[in-house]
Amino acid sequence: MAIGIAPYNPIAKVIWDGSIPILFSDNGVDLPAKSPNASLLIEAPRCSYLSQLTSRVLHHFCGPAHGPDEEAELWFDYNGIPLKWHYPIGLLYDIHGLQAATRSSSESPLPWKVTAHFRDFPADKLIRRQAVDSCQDYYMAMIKEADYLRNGSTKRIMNMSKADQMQLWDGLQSNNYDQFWSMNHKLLANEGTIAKSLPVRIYLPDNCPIIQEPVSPLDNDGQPRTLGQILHMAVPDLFPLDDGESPTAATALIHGVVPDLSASALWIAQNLSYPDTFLHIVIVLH
Amino acid sequence: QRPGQRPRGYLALTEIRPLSSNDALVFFGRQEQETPWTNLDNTVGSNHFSAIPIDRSPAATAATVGADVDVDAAQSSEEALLDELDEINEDFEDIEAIEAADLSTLEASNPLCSLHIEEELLLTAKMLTCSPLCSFALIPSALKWVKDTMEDDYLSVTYHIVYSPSFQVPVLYFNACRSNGLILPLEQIYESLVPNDWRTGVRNAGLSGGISQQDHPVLNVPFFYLHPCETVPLMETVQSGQNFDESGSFLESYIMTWISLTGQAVGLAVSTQAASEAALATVKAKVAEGVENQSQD
Repeated sequence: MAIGIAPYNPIAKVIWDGSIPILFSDNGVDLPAKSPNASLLIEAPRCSYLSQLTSRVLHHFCGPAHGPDEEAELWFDYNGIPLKWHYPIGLLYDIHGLQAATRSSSESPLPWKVTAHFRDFPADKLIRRQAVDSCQDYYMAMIKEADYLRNGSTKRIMNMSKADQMQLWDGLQSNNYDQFWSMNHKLLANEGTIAKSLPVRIYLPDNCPIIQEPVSPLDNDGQPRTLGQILHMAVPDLFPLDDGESPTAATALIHGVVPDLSASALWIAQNLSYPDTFLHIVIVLH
Repeated sequence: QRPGQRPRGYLALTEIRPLSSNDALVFFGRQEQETPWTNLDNTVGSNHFSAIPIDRSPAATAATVGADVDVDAAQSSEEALLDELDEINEDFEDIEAIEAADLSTLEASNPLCSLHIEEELLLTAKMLTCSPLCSFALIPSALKWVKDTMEDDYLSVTYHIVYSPSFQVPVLYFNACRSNGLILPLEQIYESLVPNDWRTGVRNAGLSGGISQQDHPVLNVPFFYLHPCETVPLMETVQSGQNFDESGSFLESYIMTWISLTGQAVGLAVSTQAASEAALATVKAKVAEGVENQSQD
């Protein structure tokens, strides 16, 4: 399969290479005997998913013999909160590590200490996994939704060839920047037209319903909107327009960094999106 | 209200289906954000409830209608239920008049404009009770009373209709559980909810089946849902091919059609006269086409 080289984009490359060190421990209850290596330290790409670590975690804690049942039962928690395996790892850390951290301890947040569970999958809180298929299913649903928001129709994504879909997915699974971005670039370029709406999801603390409302990258006069303006439209109380460049009530985080609110929202969406082509913004309250 | 929260209403239906018979009780009403439908003890404020005893045959019996009921005044005895029902029946004529006015106001503006469709979903509870469905008003503790007195094992199916701002269509979310409270996994959803003649079509829709799980947009817990990707072209087809009844409102027909199209796929047993046979035939043809295309890939 011809993969091609991704267009030169140092920002996308830096984001792709971003990672979080995660220290996995077992919960001390599920496994029959204390494993000789009690913890597992993995440098996980921010742009990957917890389900991609399933094999390594099971292999470390349970040995090489494990099947789809064990894979389906594996789940993770941080501070007692089950971690959504269908969120990118970077987003999970921004929410549970950074957004929550301002309230509590002085302990260094890294390596991120995550507990692995091997039983009692909380089906009322976590979407069921049927091995890798559920992850791919969910990922493609996000891609579809984002593409619909960008160009207002399902035709393009429904006509995407299986080969193209697999190139995206395989590139993501094998952490291959060129393989992934040579295809992803086409999605984001939107055939040269400006997106009708930007795929943006905004995460407020305390499990608040996620804000996902279509927003045009251009204002009513056809001028590009800034990131600050987009945030103001979504959460006017936290991002009032007259606050200038340093809002006092809250900070927006994308991939763990504070973006420049005066930047064009369209540029931010094209360069700082996650592999599911959504811009996931985590809001930290002061 | 915390910053960033906006009221997100959705329409909730809960069906109690005893496993041993074809009868079912459907409870449905409007639900506001943050009050889990299934946790009735924490219900705050007033909600519109109707209970619709239905059988599986298409014929429906005569209708009565429910109105806003003050939850705090709820009592659990059967007598109180009947008293409540009598009071509500008296208000029926007033409600009809109010609803007619509401609908025409909404229609004056573009009925499919996203701002209005969400409000319209909130009104759907009242609209559906004006249709020839059998319904009577119950207070929320009655749902618990019914569950407690049910001798047979039953399936409790919850349907939520939530508007999707991204796709600008209503989306059907649902979960089912047995009397022990355990949520049914996907395979059992297909077996229990999807009618036989829909099963192949639904399974083959889209990338990996028309039913998946997602976080509920308001409650943020796992719910099964029907991919709206399939709904959007279906509704466009229905709209373009349909002459909706002149005496009814376009929007009412749209929502009724949507409910009967999507609901049918997952066993939502709401019988309605507003969705025509032609609309259903169109859908089945589309689904069959989808099956053919899938097998050509």
